[in-house]
Order: sequence, then C-alpha cells, then structure tokens
Amino acid sequence: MRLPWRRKKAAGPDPLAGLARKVRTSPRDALRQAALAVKGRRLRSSLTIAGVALGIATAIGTLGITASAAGAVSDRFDAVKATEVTARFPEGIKAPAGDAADNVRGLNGVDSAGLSCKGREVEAGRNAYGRNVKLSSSAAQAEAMQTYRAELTMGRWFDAGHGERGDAVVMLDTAAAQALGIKDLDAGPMVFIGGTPFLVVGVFSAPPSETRFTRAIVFPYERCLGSGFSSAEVIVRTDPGAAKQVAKEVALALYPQGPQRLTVTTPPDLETFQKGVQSETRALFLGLAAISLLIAAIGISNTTYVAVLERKPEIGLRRATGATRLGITVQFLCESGILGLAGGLIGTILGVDATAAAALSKDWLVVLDPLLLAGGPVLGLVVGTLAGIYPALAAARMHPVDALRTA
Amino acid sequence: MIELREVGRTFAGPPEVTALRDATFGVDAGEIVAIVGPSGSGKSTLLNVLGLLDTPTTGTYHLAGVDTGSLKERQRTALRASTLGFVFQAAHVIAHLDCLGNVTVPLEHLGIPRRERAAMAEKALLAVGLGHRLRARPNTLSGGERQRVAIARAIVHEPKVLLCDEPTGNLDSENTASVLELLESLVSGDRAVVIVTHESDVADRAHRTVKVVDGVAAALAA
Repeated sequence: MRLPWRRKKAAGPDPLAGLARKVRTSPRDALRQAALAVKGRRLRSSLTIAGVALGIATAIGTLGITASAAGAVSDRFDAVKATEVTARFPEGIKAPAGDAADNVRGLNGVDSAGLSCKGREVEAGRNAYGRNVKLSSSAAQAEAMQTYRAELTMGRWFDAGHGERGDAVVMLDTAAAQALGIKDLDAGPMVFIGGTPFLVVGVFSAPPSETRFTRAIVFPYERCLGSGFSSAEVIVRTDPGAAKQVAKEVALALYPQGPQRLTVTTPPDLETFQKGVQSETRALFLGLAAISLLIAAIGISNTTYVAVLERKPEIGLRRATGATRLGITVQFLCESGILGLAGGLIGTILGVDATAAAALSKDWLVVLDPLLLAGGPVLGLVVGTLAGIYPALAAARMHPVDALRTA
Repeated sequence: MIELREVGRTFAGPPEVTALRDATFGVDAGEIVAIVGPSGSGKSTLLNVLGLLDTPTTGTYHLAGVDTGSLKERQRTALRASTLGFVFQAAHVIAHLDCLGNVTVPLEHLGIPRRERAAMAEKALLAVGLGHRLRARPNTLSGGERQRVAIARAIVHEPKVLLCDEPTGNLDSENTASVLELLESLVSGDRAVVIVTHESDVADRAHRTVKVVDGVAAALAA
C-alpha cells in the first residue's frame, strides 16, 4: 500500500528560503489536539472506551479467574490427594495378614495406613426370610476406612479383637443402613446374609473419593484371607511432602517377597496438573477475550472513521493551514490510541476487580500476574492504535478542497 | 504579490472539463480584488489554484515571487501555510475548541512555540473585535462572531494574501457590512485581500474586479 505521505527527498536549493516556515506538527501538539477532540466528544468517546474496557476486562478477568481457579483446584487437590499412596495386590496373590500394615505404619512419613479388599455383591436382609437388598461388600481394617476419611456416624469402628476372634460383625455405610431400614444401633440390629446373622457395630458415611465403601457392607479385614474377596490394598496417608518417598518404600514394607508385583499409586505431579488446568482453561477464555477485543477494535475503528467523515471540514482546514498528511495521520492515530489506552486502563481495573470478587467469593487466593496489569493498558493502546490506522489513512488521503466543500 | 499567466485547469474526464482557461492577472499588496461571476463559472477553481489547494494544468502562477509550478507538495503546503490565509463561506470553526484554540490551529503546523501562539491568537482575536470572547465555545457564538473567529484564524500568522470564499454568504446585511469593514481594515502595505463573491455590493467595495465567465477570467478596471 502506498502511504499518503511518502515522498521523494527534495533536492537542490530551497526556493522558499526566508519566505515560508517549514511545516511540521510536533507530536506533542498532535497528542494535545487528539486529547481535546476525545474530550470534546464525551458521549461517543465514553461509549467507545467502554467497548474497549469490556474487551480488556474480559481478557484480564478470564486470565485472572482461571489462574486463581487453577491455584484453588490444585490447592484442594493437594489437601486430599497429595498425601495419599495406595499399593494394590494383583489377582492371584493372597491378601497379606493384618499385621503387614504395621510394617507400613512404621515407615517414616506415614501418618496412618490400613488394609482393605473388595468382596462380591451380597444380598442382605433384616431377618433370615424377609426381603433382601443388594449391597456391595468389602472387608477393611478400621484404620483403612479412617485413612480413606470415612466418618463414623453411629456405633463404633471395628477393633482388633473382632478380626482375631472372627466375630460375626459388620459395619454399614449410611446408604446401606438406610436401605436396610436401620435408624439406630440401640437395639443391636442384626443383618442376615445367606441365613447367617451379623451384628451391626457401626455406621459410617462413605468417603467421597473411594467407591469401595459406598452402599457397602464392611466385614473385618481378616475376611480378606478367606475366599470371595480380592483386590487387597493398603491405603497410606503420608505427612505433607512425604508421598513420593513413602511410595518408593511401601511395596517392600508390605510384601518383601515380591514388591515389584504390587501396583503403587502416587499422587499425580501437582505442577503438571496445575499447568494442565491453566493451559486448557486459558486457551478457551483467551479465545473469548480475543473475540471481545476484536469487537472493541472494530468499535474504535468505526467511531474514528465516522469522526473522520464528520470532521471533514476540520481536516480540510488543517490541511489548508499547513497540516501535512503525516500530521493528520498522527493526530487521528493519537485519538484512537487515547481511546484504546483509556479503555485499557479502565478494563484492567474492572478485570482485576472481577477477578478479586470472583476469587474472594469462593475463598480462593487471588492470583494475578503483574505483567497482566501492565499489559492491559498497553494492549488497549495497541488495539486502539491498530484500529485507527484505516480511518487515519482515510483522513490523510482526503484532499483539502473536497474536505472543505462539506459545509 | 499574485501573478497569473495563462493559467488553465482541466479536469481529466471522461468527460474532460476545462474549468478555467487563460487566466492572466495580478494582485498587488494593498489591494482588495473581487472575483465575481455566476455559480459554476470557475470562481472556486480559480480560488483553489490561488490558494495552492489545486495545481493548474497550464500556465504559471507566481505567489510572493515564487514560481509555484516548481514546488513539491510539502513545499506548496509550507508556502500556503506561511503566506496565505483562508476565510470560507462556512466558518469551519472546530466545535471542541474555544476561540483561542481555533485561532491557534494554523500556528501549530508552523512550528511556532506554544507560548507565542497564545499571544498571537489573542492579538488576532482583538483585531477582529473578539477580545472579550477568547475562551468562548463556538456553539455560544453568533454567525457573525464565528466568521470573525475564522478571519482571526486566517490572519493570525500574518499572511501576505487573504483568500476569502464568499465570506459573507451566510451572514445578514448588518454582519456583512461589519465583516467587509473588517476585511478592508486588514489590507495593508504588504497584504492583499482576494474575495470571491457573487454579491455585487461586496464586489463594489473592492479596488478591482476579476470577472469569471465560463472559465475565462478577465480583469476589469476598478
């Protein structure tokens, strides 16, 4: 594209020496005139600025909120999962004796640990003949259930004696208790499975993060050593930061004769997790922000172009009184730049406020990149200036006579 | 001050239009020259040529001793900005600037320092009788006052030639008389005033008249 002010360098002596002053518009004057023009059209300028502000606020807000959310998600993740290690026995290996868990508890950095295993689905009823309900079953040490964060709501946990003696006792989760119509344990309610009565010693609410105790009837762990149970595993709660080290040692402590056969699950790498959440959500929201910025840019371009058409006489007058094409271009670029910068500043403030409000209402830590705060106004300036290029060139191309003819 | 020899202006077509042909006349300092003629006769084309807003296709035009045909666009702009002042039929005052701001516009492009500009603009506004309305916005001014602002803007940089295109076209008779008086007062030993008009009473007050009919300009005796 040929820029309107491009010209060849003049050669030879100046025929205007001593007669005419050199024409030039200082950047300061261009900026001042642009500011006055923006100020002089308050309503229109405000609406345009609002458009840019919205775009920038969306950009800053989405970046800020996603960063804060990702931080919060990984914080929560950290709290529950980052200290959890499990080691699972493959099918075909007999479940270990209950005291194997003691070896794991003896490891450095272990807070609590317990063994459990899964059983078949069972039909259980309140008496030997009546209606039965289907429940999943498992067997576990009380420590395993506590480590999974199951919470006792009625009665008590299993004790060591229950397993050792082979007592016919069970625990139910709240969903299973409700299915069986057990409201309290005062009368020592019994549950019949295949005609065999079991005393319900406790009711617990199942942990949200583990399905093996949901709508389940739970036997003392020693049942795992018999038939009908599989997938024995140890659940270990470690001290914060100890998960990786414990994960290395747990298999050997639990099953020295073949530690490599156990499947050890460690918490996922938090940094990768956090970055994953951030990059995915960011990509989505940045796309939205880019669209709103594009709309804002079109708004600025449109406003400035309309201003150019409306101000034809002014442009003609300035050209007639010495403004060069470059001077006119610079003045209109300054105008759109000012609109963009103002929108960027306001948008940054709004975006920060939105981020803070969203994060604080959720009790998240407000995460804002300082670069983003400086970037908002700069982005507004850039968007405004770019959007002003076409109108500014259109203004510069205008012939003074044509421009002045518009009365 | 102004010297035209066989100046013509043809607009490339189609159809090709010759708006001005063989204009030969001069304007000296201290003169008021009226350019008259019916509308569509080529008056505006002539004024645009005189104002360096348009380039003649034939002939030569000397302004303040400079052959304007040899100038580059930027030099034409510089010569125009330094030696000419314009008054249009519409005052073309800039709505968002006050009187002082409007009058300083030509000075901005001439690289005159800001402090001097305000003093020059104030002097120009005083000269047109608006010393008391320096900070007034154009929307608070009457039609006559706006045209005075336009005249102040045209003389603020002390041009050698004042080019006026129907300067009283939008004014009532009272304002017309006072604006013409003002224009007469602005003629001096080193300044000429050229007025394009179709009003005979305006032309009557000029020292000389150039009549344009069908693109042919003929200088009449005073």
